[in-house]
Amino acid sequence: MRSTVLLISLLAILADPASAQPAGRLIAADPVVETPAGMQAWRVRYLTTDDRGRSSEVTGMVVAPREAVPRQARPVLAWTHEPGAPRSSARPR
Amino acid sequence: MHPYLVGTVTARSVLDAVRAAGAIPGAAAGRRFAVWGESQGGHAALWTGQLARVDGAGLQLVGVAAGAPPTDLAGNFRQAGNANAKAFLTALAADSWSRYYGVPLRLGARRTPGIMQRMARNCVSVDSTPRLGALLGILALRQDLRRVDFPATAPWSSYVAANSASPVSQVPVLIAQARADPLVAPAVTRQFARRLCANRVPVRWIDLRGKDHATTARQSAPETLQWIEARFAGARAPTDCGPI
Repeated sequence: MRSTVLLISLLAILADPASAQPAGRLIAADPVVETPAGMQAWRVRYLTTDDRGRSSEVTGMVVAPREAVPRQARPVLAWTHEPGAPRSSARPR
Repeated sequence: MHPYLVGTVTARSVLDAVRAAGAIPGAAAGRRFAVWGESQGGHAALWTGQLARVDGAGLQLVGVAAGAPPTDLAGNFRQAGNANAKAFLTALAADSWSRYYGVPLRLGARRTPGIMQRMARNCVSVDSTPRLGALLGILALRQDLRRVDFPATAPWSSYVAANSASPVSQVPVLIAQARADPLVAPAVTRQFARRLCANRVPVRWIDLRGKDHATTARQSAPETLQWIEARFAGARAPTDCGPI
């Protein structure tokens, strides 16, 4: 699976409904400094739409091999995160 | 906040994440993808499979892998083996659904909603050893919910139905399940797998010994990754539909 892009969808909604933005649009991809050897990663924010057409900004992480960009796009493994786990983005009240 | 057990939202955010990843040049992420998750993440993975055809325009899903996924939610709420886990699951779902669907959190006794909100919003992990405060909350909840059949109580019953996974899939499915999982009842998962089989979905079933819910994905990772790799390679999907 080394050539695969790992994608972690955290589902933590950052902002309230944004208006009529295209879902799946990448808002920001901030490179992660400390990554496992041979890997590179980005913290991403992107837009998604719920079943009532409301658009929200959500976060995730994208991890890919640190090597020359291949000629063929890499396959993607989307890991759907548990709600209890992403503590850094959870906001205790 | 995390929409917990809201199928469409979690699935769409996964599909949109794959699209968003494609916009990072260095990642070289393609349009072919597999989805894998554990517990509520397994539920999200199954829902991604369900919506991929309708909402996944431009993307190509090759397989769905789920570890200990809630599936038929009424069954999951009723049959969770451990009473604490059951109360916790109810609190997470009721709090999430009340916020997502905009309905008041009314359930049990007068103190119950407050307990549920505190529990759900403190980001307590299902599997961590609870602190004393959380433990007392769980005991109070168990007391309050003793005579409540959550999946049969309006309006929750409709959200239970709306967010249950359908036993259909366009792509092969892998399910890993611990035999004595105290939170996600193995019988419910097994029944879901059988129904997938009845609908002619190739199902790979990984039966894990023991009762460890939280390590379902870790325990089944080598086999699951191998299975996912084979889906990307276009191999014929194996099926365990006979022995499940």
